[in-house]
Amino acid sequence: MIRLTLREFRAAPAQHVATLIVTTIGAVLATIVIETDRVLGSQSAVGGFTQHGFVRLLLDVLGSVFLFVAIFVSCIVIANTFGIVMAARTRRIALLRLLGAEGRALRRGVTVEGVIVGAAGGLLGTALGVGVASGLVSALTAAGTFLPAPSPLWTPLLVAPTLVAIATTAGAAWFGSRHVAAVTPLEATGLGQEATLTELRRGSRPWLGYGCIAVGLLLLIAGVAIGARTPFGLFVAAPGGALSFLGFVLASNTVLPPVLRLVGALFGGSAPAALARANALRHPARSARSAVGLVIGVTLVTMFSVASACFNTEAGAVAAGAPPAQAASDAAFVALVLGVLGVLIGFSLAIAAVGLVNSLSLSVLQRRREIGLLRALGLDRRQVRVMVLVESLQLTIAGGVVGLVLGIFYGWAAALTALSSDHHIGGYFPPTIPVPLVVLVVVASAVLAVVASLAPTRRATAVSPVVALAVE
Amino acid sequence: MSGSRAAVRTEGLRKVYGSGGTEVTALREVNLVIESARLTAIMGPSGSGKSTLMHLLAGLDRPSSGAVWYDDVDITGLDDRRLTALRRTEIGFVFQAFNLVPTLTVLENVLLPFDLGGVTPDRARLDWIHERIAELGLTTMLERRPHQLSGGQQQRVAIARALAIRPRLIFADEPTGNLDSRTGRGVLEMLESATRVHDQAVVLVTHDPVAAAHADRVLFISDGAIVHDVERTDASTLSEMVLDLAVDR
Repeated sequence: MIRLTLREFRAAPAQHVATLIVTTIGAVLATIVIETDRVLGSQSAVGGFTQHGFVRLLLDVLGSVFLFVAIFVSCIVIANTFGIVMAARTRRIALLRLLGAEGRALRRGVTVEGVIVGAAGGLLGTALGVGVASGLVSALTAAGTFLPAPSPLWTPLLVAPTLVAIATTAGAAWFGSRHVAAVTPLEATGLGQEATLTELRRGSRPWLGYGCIAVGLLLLIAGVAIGARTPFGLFVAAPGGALSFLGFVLASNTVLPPVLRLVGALFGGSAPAALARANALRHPARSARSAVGLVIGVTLVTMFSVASACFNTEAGAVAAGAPPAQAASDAAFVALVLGVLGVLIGFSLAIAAVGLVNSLSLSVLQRRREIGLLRALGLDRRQVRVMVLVESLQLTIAGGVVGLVLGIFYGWAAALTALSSDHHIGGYFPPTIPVPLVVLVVVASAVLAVVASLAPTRRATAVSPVVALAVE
Repeated sequence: MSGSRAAVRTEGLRKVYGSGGTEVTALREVNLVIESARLTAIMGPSGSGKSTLMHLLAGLDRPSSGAVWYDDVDITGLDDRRLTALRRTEIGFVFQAFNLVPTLTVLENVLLPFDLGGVTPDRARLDWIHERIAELGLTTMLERRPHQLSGGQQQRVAIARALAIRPRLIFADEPTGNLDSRTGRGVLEMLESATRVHDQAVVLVTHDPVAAAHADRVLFISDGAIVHDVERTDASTLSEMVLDLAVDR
């Protein structure tokens, strides 16, 4: 069985590229978080940055939170990737089943593939992360921001990113290959049209998600209400917000498809647009999983910017009376934190983007036959390009819009909870929506859609109409 | 013969796959006229070149040399865009399997060539299409999706789609390959009647003598060349000719 696993790598190494990139990005982020803490520690030790103990704590907390988010998004993307890779392999799996392989053994083999890719990504990411960190430290030391300090590159903690990468990839591979055992030997004889993916619809349990949303929202509202008296309402509102958001992610299979349908309606009634629309909804669960990583990233960015914009608007009026130096320092601090957050969130967005590209290219790959048929019936290359682009746009715009709405809501709730008890502000206020952010998210989604559709488009336009006639 | 008008004509058509030592000649110097209002069957063993010939006739592939004339246009010189437009307006297809787009309903599949061209069929054309749909017994299934249809029903939808654009030519590539013999006969009779009632040229690619017995004319291809060209005859005669070819090889 192990020999078969290794053969998969030799035969088609490309199928695991997406997983490798995702685990590498995750490990880079983990390594940088570890190195940042260590460097700030050694800086404090040589006496340069004692006053920045708070910054260190803040960065540690933020780093850990976003590391967790990044790992979570990676798990979704990797499990999704493995699911699609398995779907592409159905015929071969069925043949092995026909020849007597046990479903569980095949699934173990897939998990071993996950372990190997995870280990490779973890090591690669750790190396890259250490490289980036040491580069930054020498640059900052040269610039005089940091004091020269002995900074050994190695700490035992650096084993952690690789271990976590292996564990998440193996777990995601095991989860993503859950349908392997369900492939029947009969599928090897394969006259089935496209039945291989329908099983991916199964196994969505939105009720757990709805429950989390309900309980989370109640907590969030209670937290905001408490916030009218004391900012400690945050301790109720924050878990509530996190729980409701988790609920949303769990229920995304049922929540996102209607949004996809709405966004799809924007692209008009031309045949390529209609085909793309139908296709994005063909596997609602798969589309939802490709978009949900984006939703998570955009929600977090939006939440923090809306919260800080509210803070600026509301507290700005109050701070008008404060000494200008204090105000400037506050603003600089907020800017620093937002910058760090931007970088951290960028990592999860990068992971989400990989997931999107991957899911689009495999969707094209699985539809070779259908694309060939459409080409034979009179879809020209330009229309094929439009079709793939519209599908991509539909996913990114739906993800971006949902992320914006959720982010504005959570950011506003956070600002209300933290600020409304301040007697200078006194009571509730409407959310401040930073217009540049909205523009940025929309433009970035569009750019992401175009970039993500490049490789799949190339594959789709290369399909010859003769493919439709081939009898496999 | 009433249908002596040429639907498509080839001139010195050659197709070579690969190059150097692995060169394989799939088609050598084929000169051929396919007439309208007739059902022409192309028969031949696997690897004889019958699929290649069909691909070239339908503008799905390009020849190594030679010409394919639609009236006075040699389609081998057209760019992808014009070739695609030609397939959309002049050629109908019925394949062995996977004929229909799974995400579209039956009616959407039938009207797909119009949608792809960004054309809305006028009232008269729509009425005409709905008459064909009724003849094919599909009127009650217009809102269904392909996976809710039997194999025979799917083939009938493909025929309706092919007829809808009133093309110069319909190519049917092993259209009965996945059907039981009774359903298969029904499909062939519909193709046959299209040639009589609508003066439609139909090219039937098959290796099945029973299917080819529905044709007005049968071409035999072997090793990339046309070796027989006969008028309508019965299945057992066709069977013998196929056997002879197999033995000669």
